[in-house]
Order: sequence, then structure tokens, then C-alpha cells
Amino acid sequence: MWFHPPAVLPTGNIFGAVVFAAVLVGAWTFFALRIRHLIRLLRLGRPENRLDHLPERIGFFLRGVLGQSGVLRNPIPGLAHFFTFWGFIVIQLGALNLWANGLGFSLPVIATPQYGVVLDIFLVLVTVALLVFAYRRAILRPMALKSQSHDWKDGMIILGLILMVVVTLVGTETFGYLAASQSAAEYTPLAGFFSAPFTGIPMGAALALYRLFWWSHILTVLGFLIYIPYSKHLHLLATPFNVFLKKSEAQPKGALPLIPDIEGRFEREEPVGASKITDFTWKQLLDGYACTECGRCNAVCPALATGKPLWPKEIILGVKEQLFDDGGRLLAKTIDTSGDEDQGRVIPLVGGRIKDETLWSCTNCGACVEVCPVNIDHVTKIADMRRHLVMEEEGRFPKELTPLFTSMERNNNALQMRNDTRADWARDLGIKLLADDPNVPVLYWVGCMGSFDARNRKVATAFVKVLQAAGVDFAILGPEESCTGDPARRIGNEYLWQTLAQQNIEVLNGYGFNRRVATATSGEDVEASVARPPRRRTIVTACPHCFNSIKNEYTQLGGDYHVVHHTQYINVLMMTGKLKLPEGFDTRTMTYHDPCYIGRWNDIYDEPRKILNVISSNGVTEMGRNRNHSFCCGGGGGRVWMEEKTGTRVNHARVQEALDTGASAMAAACPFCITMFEDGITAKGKGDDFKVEDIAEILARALESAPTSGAVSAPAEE
Amino acid sequence: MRIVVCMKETPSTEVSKSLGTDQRLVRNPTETIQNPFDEYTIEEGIRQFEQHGGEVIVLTMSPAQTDTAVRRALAMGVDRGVVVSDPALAGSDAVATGRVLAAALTKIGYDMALFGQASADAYGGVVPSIVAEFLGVPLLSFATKLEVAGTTVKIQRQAEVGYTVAEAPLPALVSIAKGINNSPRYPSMKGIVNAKKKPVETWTLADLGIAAGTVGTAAARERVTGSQAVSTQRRREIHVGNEGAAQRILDYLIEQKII
Repeated sequence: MWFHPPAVLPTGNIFGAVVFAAVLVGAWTFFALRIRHLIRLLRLGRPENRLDHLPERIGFFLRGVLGQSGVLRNPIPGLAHFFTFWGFIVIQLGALNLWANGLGFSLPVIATPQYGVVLDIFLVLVTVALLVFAYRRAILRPMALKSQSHDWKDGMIILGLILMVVVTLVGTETFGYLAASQSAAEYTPLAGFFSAPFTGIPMGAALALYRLFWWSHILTVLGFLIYIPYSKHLHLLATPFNVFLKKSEAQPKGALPLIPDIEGRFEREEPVGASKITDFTWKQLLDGYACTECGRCNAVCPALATGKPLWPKEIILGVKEQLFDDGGRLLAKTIDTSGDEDQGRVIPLVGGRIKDETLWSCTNCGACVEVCPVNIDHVTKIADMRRHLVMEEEGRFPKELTPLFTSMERNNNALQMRNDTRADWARDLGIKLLADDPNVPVLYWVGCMGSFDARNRKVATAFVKVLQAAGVDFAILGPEESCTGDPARRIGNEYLWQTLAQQNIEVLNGYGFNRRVATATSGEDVEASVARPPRRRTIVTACPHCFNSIKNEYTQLGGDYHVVHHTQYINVLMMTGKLKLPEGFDTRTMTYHDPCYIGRWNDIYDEPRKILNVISSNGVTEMGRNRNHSFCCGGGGGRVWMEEKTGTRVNHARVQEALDTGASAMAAACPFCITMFEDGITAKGKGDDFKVEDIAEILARALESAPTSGAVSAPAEE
Repeated sequence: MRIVVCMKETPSTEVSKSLGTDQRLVRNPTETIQNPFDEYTIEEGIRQFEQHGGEVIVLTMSPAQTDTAVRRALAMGVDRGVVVSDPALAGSDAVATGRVLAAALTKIGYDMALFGQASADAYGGVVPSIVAEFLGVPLLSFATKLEVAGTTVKIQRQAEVGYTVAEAPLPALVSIAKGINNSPRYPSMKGIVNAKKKPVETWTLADLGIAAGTVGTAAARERVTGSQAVSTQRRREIHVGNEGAAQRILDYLIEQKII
């Protein structure tokens, strides 16, 4: 039985063994058919290549699956999960041996006392983990485990089943040990411990109990096997694949996928957004299988935290449930994707399971994607569904967005301003236009906010003072600069984004900024430009949205530029000694807000802090949620252009968090964050004693007030 | 019902404008847009078409340097376009414009023709009346609400207090006031793609049987002899700080005899 060779056949006789073999084959067949169905459902999705960068993917698997790095970021439930995961594997290997026992043989390695010790250790650890899980679910009930539409029964059923597996296995061990007359060969620590009170019971009773526990264990495990692919514990099977197949780190996190040839796709009636399950890629559908409903995404969502109808988890589950509903019927061919409404057509998700307002509530802050332990991508799905609303439907978007789109189309800026006045702010500041000096090494990309918005013009002016103090030879584009298109892309108007991106790429390529294209700068012939040694030309911007778009997304259309955020650039100027700051000049208590588009989407956390630690005498007083856990200002994802009518306001929540640190100033590094916080500070009536300032503004003031700090005046070499 | 929406192409409201030596606007084809007032008219035309069926056509008289404005109307949902373009039209005044539009409307055939309240560049606001005069059909002007029932069109016009109701038998002309506030739609992608396949005819004066001498600079009864830029700088006073601010505002309101 337990150890090799089996002393007692748990199935009794050859007849019992045959019955057991039939049960085993039946259960596995049932399981295999369900898996085949699940795979066929995935194949309803659009194609997407996720087998690139294989060595990197093996790393994802080792760290994410075997190392459990995803869940371990939250230590207590993470450790509980770690031991459940490994316990599961150890126990199932043990179960494999029990199956072999039922057929009259044992497995090498597993059927050894040594393995028995390992097994027992994990049985104890899994039991402790189960208690932790049950405590969280039943008593702690953290925000993450609350749900909009899904109750917690499924979770408790699974906990119960795992407990059954543990109990029946310990029973099998214990009575197997007794039935084998407490043979040393059958000894495992738990069997030894639990058999003590039963010592001396009749051999027949021990054998009967052994068989009872053995069958209970077998049936529980096989029941589990059948239940898993029908429950949220499908994640057990799907997560390893989802982790292995996640977006390669060679691709920028901050880029939304390109929809090539939009007009052609329309002609061919191919989707440019997503609403039906067949509009999603198979990988997006797999995300639904991988979701284990842990709710970490719900817990960090700024929209949900302020009362908006956006539960990121329900989006993932909505897609999955629609896939189960429609997919089954699609495969059975009782409905199709093109049929009429009455003939049974695939049900659109958008407007059905997922409401329009849910999609418009998203700030694209990426907190959900960042926190998800199984690498689910919520934001891309929301983007695809927004694309459906904007491009495939007739103007199904908040009406306040129409003037934004129209302005971006007609005026090349997001603020309904005359674009020929784009450089007006720069008058009298001694700033060159790129057209007048096409070979400058550094282009300052100002963006619409820096160019037109009164508050952010101050930021642009301050940043220029910093650049000038460091002797940087730079220019701006002025009226040749257009909106990068970022708001359009985040809102779902991919067509408009592509138009504006193309326009900007042409301008930048014309000045020879593209690393992929050798182009003559204007007013110069190609020969001269080729004769000049290649050199790195930099685009620097104070806007994280412009930064992300030009750096990470223009590459999709052939624009490859060296782009840095101004906090990175200032940090380099400081480190190379070109910019000398009066250390500790700013004596205010200062906190720093990580903008999502340089933080989570681009991993720039240290540079802003390094600068602030030099200029501020008190360093940075962190808010509770900082760095990759930062809480959005509420303005991302095009939200800054939309009204916020439901619930409380995201910017107010974040301003309160900043006020709670006791700081009197909040350093920021994004024009939209600044706009949102100015608004929040005013609304809270704190305008007199709390300020939000861009890092460049803090530096510019210091440089002006402390001119003896040794700022370099001679033009420095790039 | 066949609805014809008359539209003008105007320079973008977001670029600086200049006048040539002939005192005519320097037009930059890449910065030409639908006359902003006409967006409400196009929207209303499409809505009436959606309600009553038939056909909705956009008509414009333009130098035809680009078709962006017409295509945008088609993308919004208009069925087809007619552009009247002829070198002899350069310098036409409102009367000549009215003459051409009237002839084109007759040639197209219409049950209802819609106009914007004025154009954002010239801002004359007289073309609808002139067309009505040429055609001898009723004009319901400055509609803030429009309803067609059977062969009658009924409008509401904002008055100083309340509104006036007016009605006329079809065929009729209606000018739409901006106050109709019908949120002109943003062209969908489907609309943009379809617009490329929709027909746009271009007619010359000869097609309309209009003699070149009755339009253009030669026939214009008004002539711009000069122009001067005006400053829109407002008189303003900025008071910084709280001290005495309330008193200053109070004094100002009294000075201005507001209170």
C-alpha cells in the first residue's frame, strides 16, 4: 500500500481495482473533454503572438509560477498561497502513488518514508494556510475580497475541498499504518501521531477505515479535478500559462497595442475595437481563465475607491462569463457573429455585462495591472472596448469629448487654441525655435498644457530657466508641434491618434531626430547630414503623457526617438555637474506624487526623489501610497477631459492623502496631476497653506533666489 | 422627403486671418472647416432625415480647393454632396451667392432646404432670405426647434420673452439658430470610411444656366474699400490681496450705476 511494495490492496480485490480503474478513466476523460472545450473557446479569439522572447518567458515561469513572486508581494496571504501551491504539487504526487496503490503497485521515489516526511510537512503547512485563507474570507473580509456580482461561496467550497483532501489523506496514512500492523515501513510522522489513540483496534476495522479514507481521498481529488475547470480555480490550470505568456518586458509597458490599417479593417468588416467575445485576442480571453477573483485590482482602483461603477475584476470576469455563454453556443453553431438580432447573435459585452460608464470611469492609471499576481491586463481590454464605443458605434462617448476631438483635429492641440500661438508663452524668454536652429542637440517638447494652460505655462517657464541655468543648447518646435494624440488614444479614438502621431513623426524626422531614419535637417542637403558624425539628439518633455506616447508608442509607426522626462534630464544635469543647486534650499515639508505615466507605466521613481532630496532640506515625506502603489490624480485615461459626476472625486482623495502627511507642499511632475490637484486643493480650501508645484518650479525658484550657487553660465557640451 | 443642407466653408476659427490687397480673405485650403453655425444645420438635416426618411444632400458654393468640409458632412451621415465651383464666382456678394444657391436648389429639387444662421467669416446672415426671394418660397428663420408633419414645417424662434411659433407649407426654407443646441455629432469611423464612397458632384455656372456677368466681383453691389484691425483688449483692473478688495468692488459697481 503506502510504501513499496503495497502490503494491502486498498481496492480489496481485482474487481475493486477494475472499478477504480474505470472511475479513474471516467474522471480524466471528463476533465479532458472540458479542457478541450476551454481551448476551443480560446480559439474563438483573434490571433496574437505570445511565443516571442522564449528565454525571457522561461524566467517568467520560474519566478512567477514556481517562485510565486506575484502573490508574495502581499506577504501573509502570499506565503499561505506559496505553501498551498507547493503543497498541492507534493500532495498530488502522493495522490498519484495512491492511485497506483489502488491498481496494485507503488511509485518509486514517492513511495518512500523520506517522501512521507516531506508530504506531512506540507500537509501541516497547507492546513495552516487554509486557516489563514478562511480567516481572511470570513472575518477580515478585506476590500479586495468584496465583489460587485460574485459571492464568496466558490472560494469557501474550494477551501472545504482542500481541507477534505488533507483530512482524507491523513486518514489514509493513519489507518494504512494501523492496517499494516504499525509496520515501520508504513510510518509517516502524522500516521504515527494520529494512530496513537486507535492502537489496538481490530485489524478488520483498521482495514475498513483505511479503505474508506482511501476511497474518500480518491473521490475528493477526482471531484476536485472535475470541479476545477468549472470554477474560479480554473486559475490553477490557466495561471502558469498566463504568466508564461505575459507581455514581454522587451515591449514597453506604457504602450497600447496598435490597430494597423483602420480604414482597411472597416472595409473588410474586421473589428477595430472589442465588444463581442470574438473581438478579443485569445490571450485576452485567457486572462479570464487565469483570474482567481482575488480582487487586488478592485482594492487599488481609484475609480472604485471614489464610488464609480468600475470594478476591474468584474471586467475580467464579464469577458469570461460572456465567453462561456456565447462561446458554447458559437461552437455549437446555434448562433453566429453576423446573424440578425432575432436569429441569435453574439451578445455585445459593451452595454450588456459591461456598462459604458464603467469603461469611461477608468483613469488608465495601471494600478490593477501592476498589482495583479497573475499578469492580467485590464487596461488593454478597457482600451479596446473604448475603441469600440468611439470608432465602431455612432459617437457613444461622453458629449464633452466632442470639442476635444474636434480641437485636436482642427487645431492640432487639445485645448481649443490657435496652434500658431503655441510658442507665445516663450516670447521674451530667449528660447530658440527649432526651425531657426535645426541642429540643436536638445528639443524641449512643451506639449499642449505647457504651451497653452496658464498654470502649466509657469512650469514650462520654470523648466526653461533650469535648462538655461545649466547652459543646455535647446530649442522648441512652437507651432510645428502638435498634440501627441495621447488623449485620443486613451479615450479610444485610435484613428485620430494615428493622424496626429504621423504628423509629429514627419516633423521630428524632418529635423533628423529619428534613430531609424537618416534624414537631412531642413535647409541642409542629405550629403552634409551624412557627412556629419551621428550623434544622439534628445527630446525632453515635462509631460509624462507626451513622454510615454513619443517614447513608447511612436515606435509602432516607425518613429524611434531618444526621449527623456524632465526629471530624468534634470537628474543627469545634476550628476554631471552642469546644474548646481543650492542644497537644502527648500525648507518646506514636501511630499511627492508619482504620476502614473512616468511611474507605473515607465518605472521612473528614483530620479524625482533624487532631485528633491538635494533641493529639500527635509527630503521627501512619502504618502502611504507611493511609487508603484501611487494613487492616481484622477486625470489619466482622458478623464481630465470628462466630467466626474458619480461618487466623490479622485483628486480630492489624493489631495487629502497628501495633506495627511503634514506636508505644506506637494511636488509633482505632470501637467495633468498639477491641474487636478490645484482643483482639489482649492475645493478643500487649502490654497493658502498647501501648494502643488512641478519639480522644475521648485528648482527655478531656488536658482533665482540663490544665484551664487555656481550655476554654469557657459554653454555646456551635450 | 428630400432635404438639402446649405453649407459654407469658412477658415478655421483657430487660425489668424488676413486680408489680401483686394480686401478679400486669404484662404488657406488646409485650414478650411465647416462654418461652425452650419454644424447645427447639418445635424438637424440628418435628424430630420432619420425621422422622415428620403434623402439628405449637402450643397456648397466654394472655390473647391479641398473637400474636407463636404466629406465631413458626408461622414456625419449626409447622403451625397453638390459643390458649385466656378472661377467666375470669385468675389461674389451675398446676392450672387443667393442666386447660385437658388439655381442649384432648383436643379437638385428639394422639399426643405436648411441654412445656418450666418457664416462665421462674413457674418451677413442674409443669404437665406435672398435665396427665398429668388425661389419665391417661404423662409422660417432662426429656428430653435424644427418639426415636420405631413406637408407642413413648424418652427420655434427664440423671442425676448418665450418663443414664437411659425409654420409654412413645404417646400420651404429654414434657417437654424445656434440655440437649437442639437449637439452636432462627431463623425464615426464607419461614417468616415463610408464618406469616401459617397458621390459628390461638382457643377459650374454653365450647369446652372447662370451668366458669368451676374455673379462675381463684377456684379457685386457692395465693395470693401478698406479694413482695420480692432483690439479686443478689455478694460480691466486687477486687485491683488484681500485688503480693501470688497470695498473696491462695491465702489466700482456704484460708479457703474449697477447698484
